[in-house]
Order: sequence, then structure tokens, then C-alpha cells
Amino acid sequence: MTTGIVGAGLAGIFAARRLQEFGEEVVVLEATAHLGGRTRGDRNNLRYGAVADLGASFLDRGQDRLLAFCLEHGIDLSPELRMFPKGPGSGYSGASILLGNLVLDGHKRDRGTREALAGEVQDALGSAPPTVTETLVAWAYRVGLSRPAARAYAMQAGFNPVHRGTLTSTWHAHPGDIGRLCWTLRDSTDTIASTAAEGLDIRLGQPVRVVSRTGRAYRIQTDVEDLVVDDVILTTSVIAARRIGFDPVLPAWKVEALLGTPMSQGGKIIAQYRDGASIWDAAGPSTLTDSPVSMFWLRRTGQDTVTAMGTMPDTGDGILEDHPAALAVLDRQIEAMSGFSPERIGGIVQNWTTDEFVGGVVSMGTGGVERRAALAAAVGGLHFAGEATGERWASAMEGAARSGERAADEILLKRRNRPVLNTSV
Amino acid sequence: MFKAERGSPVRRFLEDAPVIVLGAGLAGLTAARQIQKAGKDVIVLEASDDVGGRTLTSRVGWRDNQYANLGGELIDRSYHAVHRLCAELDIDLGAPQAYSRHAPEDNSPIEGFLRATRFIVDGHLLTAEEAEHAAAELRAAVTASPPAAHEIVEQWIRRAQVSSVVAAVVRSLARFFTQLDPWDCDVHFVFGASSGVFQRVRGGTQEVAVAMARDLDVRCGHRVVRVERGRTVRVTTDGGVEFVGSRAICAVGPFVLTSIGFDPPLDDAKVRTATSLLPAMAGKVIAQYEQGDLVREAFRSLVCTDGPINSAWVSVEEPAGSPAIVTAFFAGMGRFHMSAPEEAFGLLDQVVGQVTGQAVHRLHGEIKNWWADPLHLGVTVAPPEGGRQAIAGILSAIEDRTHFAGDYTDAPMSGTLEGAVRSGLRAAQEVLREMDVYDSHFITERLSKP
Repeated sequence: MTTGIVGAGLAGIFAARRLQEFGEEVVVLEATAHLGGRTRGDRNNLRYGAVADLGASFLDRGQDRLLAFCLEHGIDLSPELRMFPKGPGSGYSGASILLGNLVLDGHKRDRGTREALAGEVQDALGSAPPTVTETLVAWAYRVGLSRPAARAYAMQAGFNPVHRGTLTSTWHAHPGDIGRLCWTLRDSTDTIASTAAEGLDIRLGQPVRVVSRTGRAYRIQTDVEDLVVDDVILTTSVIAARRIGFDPVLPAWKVEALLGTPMSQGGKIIAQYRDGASIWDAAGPSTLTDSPVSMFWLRRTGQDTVTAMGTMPDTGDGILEDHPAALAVLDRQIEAMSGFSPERIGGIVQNWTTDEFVGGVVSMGTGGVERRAALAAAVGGLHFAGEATGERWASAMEGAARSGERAADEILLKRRNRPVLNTSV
Repeated sequence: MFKAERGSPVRRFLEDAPVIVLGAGLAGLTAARQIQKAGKDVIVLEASDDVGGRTLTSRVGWRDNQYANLGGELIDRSYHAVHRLCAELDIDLGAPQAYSRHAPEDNSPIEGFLRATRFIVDGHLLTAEEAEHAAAELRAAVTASPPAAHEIVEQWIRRAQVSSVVAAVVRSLARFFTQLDPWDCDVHFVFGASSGVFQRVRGGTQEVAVAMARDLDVRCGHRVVRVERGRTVRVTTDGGVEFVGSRAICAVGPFVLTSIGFDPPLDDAKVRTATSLLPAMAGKVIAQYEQGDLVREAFRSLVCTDGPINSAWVSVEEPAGSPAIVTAFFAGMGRFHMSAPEEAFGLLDQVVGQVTGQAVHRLHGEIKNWWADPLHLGVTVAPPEGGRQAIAGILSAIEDRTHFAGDYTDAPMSGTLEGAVRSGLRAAQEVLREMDVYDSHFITERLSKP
């Protein structure tokens, strides 16, 4: 029996692999010309063999599905990366990130200042912990953090989930899991997708427009072809899902879950600089800033160059669409850290918000378990996967990959439970 | 003031502090006005330097003393609370403009818009015949694939497989009504009842707020950052100024509600609901043109496009011979153009030129990007039909001496001027319904028998 999978991001590809492994026929339809969804790599615009991660970059400690995949397939990772040290005190928390490199008001902050800021945040976390939903900014005001501490703490929303601190709940920042110990891929992140896609029937450049039920089967219409399949797994971003027609109409609870899940709005600013060793020493491995580039991290690239990759939430200032201005912001942060004006030899800006088949960076998970369950639940033969439906590591690559395997299992379980027809009677 | 009542040495009520209203938009001011009318003290704290919230009027820089509405302006016949408020305040509404002409045989309001509103699709201004043709196709599509009550606009467009012209018409109307992209709102905004006939406040929408604020204690430039809620409500501003009140009415915009440090924190359900609203990432680009008569004649109705400009219109009646001001919505994916002013004005010049059939001369322009404004972070909400009651119910729920007003707390009229006024009336009622808290000594003295 055949399953049609909408989207060749990690969710779609991992779903397809699992189904194919169990002897199912699978066709994956991808709207863009790329494999990997929001894990796209750019190998053309930087020099000396440098590659840019246009979307997701990190595998964090605990993202074992993807780490296991890299192990099995010999996919090389970067040296281990710790964006900030442990502390203040004996563990990691939402304050730890302030101990890493920090630029405030265009100036590098020394260790003493960072320790004081992190200490202030840590004390407040201890004496008046945030609720799960409380936003970073609301908590900072409630506990009366000093202005620099409040700003530095709220800035991390611009890194994860690349959004405004006023709309980001503290569970994104606390207990400081993201960036504490992680790896990037030695090549770009989409190596996972391209490796996992081997042997699969993936059709690029085929945006799915309508999915309709015809008897017990489903008809999938793309701009190019019509397919009839037994089951469907929809793995697109929530915004892209809202742009596909369904016949019959999706049930009200599903539509409410889709409309109740905003995506963070923003993109990525990437630039390659000369004097890589000096910049690495001054700003590596990563730096948090209060500029429109909330956070950037470095990768050593050939000929003593370094590639900086930064996140930029859309705050309405238009910088994401003004590429020279966006890259200049990144230059200034590097300069603040290194003390010299860096020589940029390449730059890329990727605005995920204006990408027709994505619409944002990641799902915001604002509805808790209940809404995530509604996003993930199947409707007949229509199954749903993707980072927004992830039970663990939602909004991350790991959540996407695991959700794809979960959706595949739903279909496999259904196959196993099909009635056995005894034709001999 | 109750301390010495009937010779009692004990005060009657525990507190005599004012009600504190956060936000001097229509909701906050309406609430404050009602509370003051009932004889209670009320203080309104406003973060910006002017009252009106998302109903500001721009008056500077326009030739011939003209003005422009930077925010909310459309007043439908069904906006009863707004009509009543304007009457009470002696504020005039302008002559109605019809963007739609219904016919009895219509099976969707969009057909009415296709008769009155002009549509630019793929750079081409639809002729009357083309609009009629689109209406016929739409009628057939609605009959063949009736939109489900909860269906997303874009999902219906895809399911019904309408032509690119009809798709553009439906998408642009969805954006006009919600300032959201058509994949972020449901069909009731375009297929639900809508008169398509609108009035505006003479002198600009902000007149309503200004008139209400005149008799109220409004303190501008006080952005509230913390609200401590115990037996009283203690409000702290970003400048460190404290106000103590008996109760608070939070009447700030929907996307800054979650930036205030409430203590105890806002209920989880309220935060989840507020952060789940899809913000209308939108604003207005407004320009004044010298060829006023020509522009007014061409813009007797609304103009909708499928380009970065969602819609454009002339909203203010001006004497013949004077310039004309054209207002345009930029929303959703089209919002980025607002940050490149020359490009945005150029796009508007082009649309105005196309509709008037002549090159026009721009005298002045202004851009108000509500999505970029740190005091608003979005222009409006457009919750789905099925979720409205629950969303508004949770957002308006009273907690810890705090009441909640704002258009987004009103289920039927969420996202409108009417919703703001109604929510203010409702919050005032809540406050006035609350019992005063008696000092227990007073009760003992009066009622306890030995």
C-alpha cells in the first residue's frame, strides 16, 4: 500500500524511511527544489569550501535520534561546542547564557559584568522562579531585574525560538538546555536529509495544493501531478499546512490547533570573514547581543576565514529584507568583540518568514500539551508530523525526525491490524 | 472619607484607593469614563505620549489642514456602542461609504464587494464585466463547494479550485477585513454577514479618545511594567513611579499584555491564549495627492489588490479643489515594504495612478507600522469563529483584582472599534459590581453583640 508524504524535511524523510524499511510504498512530495526543509545548506555563496546553515544548525545533547543517525552513517560533526559555561552556581539555568560572550549597547562586556548580570538573574530564578508560560519580559519585570540584566535575559528569545521576548514563554530559556553542549554538522545540516533520502522516491518542485478523500483512498494534487495513495502524512510547517486545501474540510479541532499555533518570525544572517583566528579568539564559539542579530556563532573555515551564523527575529524594522544593513549589524557585533573592523568576504541573509512554503522559523508551542496533541492527531488516513507535533524536542530537528517516525508507526500499526481475509471459506 | 461616619471611630471600608486603568485606548477610556460617572476615582496610565491607542490621527505635515487615520477607522452600522458613544460625546460621523452593494440573489457578501469595490489582479484593474464574471464564478464555486464554518480562507480557495482571479479577490478581501494573510483567518470574515457600508469619525478617530480623556485623570508617558496584586493593586511604571489602586483594569493591546510583569503571574490559560493569537503584522501607508478631485472621483469606493498593497481608499470628505489623502493597508507577507518608505510610497503612487488613469503628484506621506511599534507589536486580532467565545472568555476573565478590557476580550466584536468600546463598558460594570471591602473592625462594632 502507498503513503503520500507532504514535505521532504526531516519529518517527511524519516517517516518515509521507516515506512519503506517495513515494505511500504512511499512517495514524498516536496514543494521547493531542496531536501531538508528548514535544514537547508548553502554551498555556493561562501569561499574556500565554507558552507552555510541557512536554517537549523545544532544538534544538542540528548537529541539522540539524530546523533544515532550520524553515528550509523558516519556523518561527521564539528568539534563539541559549549556556548556558555556552567553556572552561576552548580548547574545550568536560563541565566547561564549570560556567562558566555555578550555585547550590550555595542560594547563587549567583560567577565565581571557578565558574572554580575548572570548572578542577578540566577538569584531571581531562585527566589521567584518563572511560571512555565510567563514570558521572558514579564518575568524580568515581575522580579524587578535591573535594566541591563532584563535586556540580556530577554535577548535569548531572539536566539531560541528567534522571536520577541514579550511573546516567548520562559520554558524556551529555562533550564538552559539549548547550546549548553552541542555540535553542528561538519558539512551543512542538510547532510542528514540528503543521506536519509537515499533510495527514497522524492519528487522536488511539487507543491501540494489539495488533498481529497476518494472512498478509502486519498488524492493528492500538486502543481505537477495527481497521485492516489492509501494514506497521507502531512509534515509541513503549520503555516504551510494552513495553505493546503482539504476535501473534506479538516475538522474544527484541527483547524483551531493550526490557527492557534503561531510561528516565530525571523531569519538567519551569515557572513564569512578574514582573520578567522583572531575573530575566533575574540568572539568564539558564540556571542549573545542586544542588536537585531540576537546571537551568532562561529565556524572555522579555510584560508584563515571564519563563518559567523546569526539569528535575527523580525521586529518590524525591515532589516531582514535589507541585506546590506543586516550584514552590517553582524559586522558591528564582530567588531565589538574583536576590536577591529572585520573584512567580510561573503554574506547570506535567509528570511524564513517570507518563504512561501515555510512562513516562519519554528512553531511557538503556545497551546501546551493539548494543542500539540491536536496538531499531531490523525484524521482518518491523514497523519500529521513535523516539529510542531513533536512530543520531545518540538521546534527542533530532533522533534521533526521523531515525529516522522511516530506518524509512520501509526500507519504501520494500522496495517498490522487490518482484518485477515480468509478467502478459502 | 468614611472614617468618622455616624460618629464611629472606625473606618467603614478598608480601602479608598482609585481604580487604575492601564492604557488610554478606546477600551481603557470607556471603562474609566463609566467608573468616574459612577462617582469613583480612576486614574488612566498611558505608555505613549498621547491618548487613543490604535486610533491615532495624524495632523502634521498635510496640506490644507487635512488629516489621516493611522489606525482604526471603519465604523459599521452594527457598531451600536460606538454610535452611542459618539452621540454622547457630540462627535459626528461622516457620510457612509459603500464598498459593497448587495443583491437579494447573492449567496455570499463577496458578490456585493465585486459590484462596488475595484480589484487589481496581477497588475490589471478588473473591468465591470470581468468583476461580474468573477462574481458568477464565485457563486458557482460557493454552491459546488460550500465553505465550512471553520474553514481557513486559503484552504477553501484551494479546495474549491477557483480561478486565479477569484482567488485574488477572496484573498484581498480577507486581508482587508483581518489584516492577516488568508491562511491565518477563517472564512467567516469573508463569507459571514458584512454590510460593506462604513462611516468614519469626522476629524479623525482619535477625536473619540480625546473627548473622553478631557474629563479624566489621564497620565501619559507612564508605561506600566509591573502590577503587584494583593489586597490592593500596586502598579509600577518604567520610570519607577508607583500608583496604588483598589483594582486595575488592564486595557493594553493584545500583544503587549504578556510583557507586563504581573505578580502573581497571569494565569497560564490567559498567557497561552494571548500568545496563541496570530498577530496582524500590518500597518498603513498614507499619502496626500495634489489632484484631489481626480483621486476622490476614482476612489469613491475601496480598491483591493493582490500585490503588496492590500487595499487603498480615500476616507475623509474634503471640499472640492483640495488635495486627497489615500490610505493603504500593508499586511502579513507584504509588511516588509513598510520599512522601505520610498518603495512603499512608490507602490501606492502606482496604484493611485492606475485607478485614476493619470500620473499623480504626491505632496506628503506617512507610514504607521503597528507591527514595529514596541507599544503595540501588531495591529489587531481576528480569531476563528469557533474559538472566539473561549478566547475572549479566557482573556477577559477577572483575576486577582485585575480586570481585562480591549477589543480582543470581546467575543463577537473582537478586533474592532466596537469591541474596544464594549469591552470597556463591560469592565466598568465588573468593577462597579464589586463590593467594597469592609474594615472588619467596622463590622464588629456595628454587628457583634456581646
